[in-house]
Amino acid sequence: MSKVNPSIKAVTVLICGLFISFSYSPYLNGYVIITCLILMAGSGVKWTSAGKILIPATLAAASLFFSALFHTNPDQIAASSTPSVHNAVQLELRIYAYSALGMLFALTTDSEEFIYSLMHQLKLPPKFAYGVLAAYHLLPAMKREYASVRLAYKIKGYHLSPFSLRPVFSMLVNTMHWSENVAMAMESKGFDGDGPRSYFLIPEVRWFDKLFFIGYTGGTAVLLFLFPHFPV
Amino acid sequence: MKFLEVKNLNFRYFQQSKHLILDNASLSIEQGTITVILGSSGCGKSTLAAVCAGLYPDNGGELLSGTRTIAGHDVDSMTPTERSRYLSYTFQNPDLQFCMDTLRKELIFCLENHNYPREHMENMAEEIARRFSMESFLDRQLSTLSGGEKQKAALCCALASQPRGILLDEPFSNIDPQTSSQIIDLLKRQNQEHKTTIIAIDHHPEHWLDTADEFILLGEKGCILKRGITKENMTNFRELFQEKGIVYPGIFSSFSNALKAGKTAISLENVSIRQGEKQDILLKHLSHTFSYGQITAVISPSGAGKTTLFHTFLKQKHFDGSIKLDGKELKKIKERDLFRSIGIVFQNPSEQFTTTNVFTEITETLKIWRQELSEQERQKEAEQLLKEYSLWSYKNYSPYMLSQGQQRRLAVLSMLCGGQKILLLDEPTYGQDGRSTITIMEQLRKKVMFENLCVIFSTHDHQLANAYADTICAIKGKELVNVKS
Repeated sequence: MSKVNPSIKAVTVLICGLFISFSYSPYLNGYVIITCLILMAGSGVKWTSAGKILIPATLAAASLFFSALFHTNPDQIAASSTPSVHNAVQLELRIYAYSALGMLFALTTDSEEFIYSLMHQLKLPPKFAYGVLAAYHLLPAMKREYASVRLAYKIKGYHLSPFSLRPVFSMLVNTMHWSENVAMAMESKGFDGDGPRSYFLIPEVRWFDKLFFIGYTGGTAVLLFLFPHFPV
Repeated sequence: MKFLEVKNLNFRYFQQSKHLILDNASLSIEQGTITVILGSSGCGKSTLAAVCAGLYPDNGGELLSGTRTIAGHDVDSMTPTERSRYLSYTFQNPDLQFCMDTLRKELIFCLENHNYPREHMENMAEEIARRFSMESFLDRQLSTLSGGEKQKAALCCALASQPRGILLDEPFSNIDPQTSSQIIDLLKRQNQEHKTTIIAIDHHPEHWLDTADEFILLGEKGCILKRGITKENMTNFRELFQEKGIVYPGIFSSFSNALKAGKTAISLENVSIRQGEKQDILLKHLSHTFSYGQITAVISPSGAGKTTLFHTFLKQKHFDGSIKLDGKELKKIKERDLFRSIGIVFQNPSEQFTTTNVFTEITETLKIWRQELSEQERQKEAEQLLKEYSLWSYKNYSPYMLSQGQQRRLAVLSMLCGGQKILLLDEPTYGQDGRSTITIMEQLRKKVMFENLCVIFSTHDHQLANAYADTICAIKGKELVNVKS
């Protein structure tokens, strides 16, 4: 999966996400979850990182499950208890389907490659793309900065809770300075958002990218039309 | 032929401000020369350089009048890409120069900017790196390189566009002398082989004594005070240098009456420190004592672990062995009690301000550490302290707007106003001129004498250590050895 063009993958995932949100079928959700897991397994994803993503997803799924179970229209519950269980299962599976799609994309895509691909396939302006890359590469420096700002607060005798926002403020003042500096550094290296430039890495759309797009969205669409509703 | 010529520049940062940063500044530099621009902090030398290179007013500020030409071309009529083919620029802080994560990618980014043919990019990038002996760093994460390596990497990038000239803004502010002279040799070779014009801004002329064709001394607001200074005639300008706060080679005359050591403040016994929990040992088997009533210098090349050592004293790093503070085991002291007796001034003091106003910066700290004072007493105390450190006239400023030297003084003050007796200073000379350094060190020396403080500062400047430290130790390899006691 990591060989598939990132833009194509992103578009595929988005379209399938849309399909799921317009359907009310556990089969479709199940299909998406299972195929995503198979594709991830095939591309050697680290399951520990997948597990980390699943923790909040499970929380969200559980909360939706129980709220759907207990707070469905009372008339329906009076008639029979099955639709509300169905409803809850379907909503829960939908959350998992979304997270499976998200994981499939996030865990098999190199973020830099994604940005290059956005520039070439989806015509993202280079000014924006390289700005994002620069910010992304500043993250380790920001982390260090945050640690030293927190230390400064502690040394001055402030009591800081782990979620305190005060050090974040001090850090942002400094990082605003940085962004100016990095922008000037890029310009001094001849970066000009609009001028002609050559590219070393040009992600291409190959036959298997197209195959993946048509196959996956097609498969989801077929299921969407075959089982649009919950079979009762 | 003139390489760079600017005339009658008038520049300010804010439209509303009446204060001009450059007031009628002019400068011309010959093609193929090595020129060093000297000047005290805040005299506008960095601004002048950025305006010459066309970075301002494109990225901020307002150029009210003046003409700028590089190699005969008007700066305003060129795009950034064209400009960087004539003059490229490196910045003071090497952490903020890169938009990619490795040197190889960064060099390729530079080449792409100049529409360099794709097939030859990889070879060209390697060729440039080879010129600065940086081949082995091509694929290392830039954030893991030392200050000197980053600065060399920045130079590689600046030369990627094969510019006719290169402008360096304080390239050595955080680099040890050996690495600095290595970089200067590389620059000299570049100048001889490719006739590249080199213009450098620096506080320290001595880096460049054997290399520069000319030194230019700037006065106020970017105006030239004196040019045509060379190694040979520099002695004629000694007084002028001192008056302007420039570090004249050998200016820190060492004094003989070292202070006597008082009680032991910090003692180390067989201490080993790791950078991170799973990483290699950075410093090992350290046994040393630091005393009250003295200033101690820790000399080490950049990246050898002095910041780590300081952070260990603050209980921020794991260590084996025993560290005692006032005779008590560091591992058993609670953080809050620890910070009542020890303070630190970071290499970059702007990281340690907690308020947005100079006055409240002090009153807030007093509020935390000296709760017995009433509101009025606090205000009075803060006023007195700020006056003592000549910061009173800036009381309503934001700390971030002060000059580097003032920021450091404020940081020292807010670290000591809680009555802390041990003060750690990480690279106190970073980013400031000789005069600010002298002011800080002399203030500290008085405090050490009269209030019996223990001050430990780290530096790679041997002269500074000799001038202001009573005892000196050095990090050599992984050990701490006594140099002067």
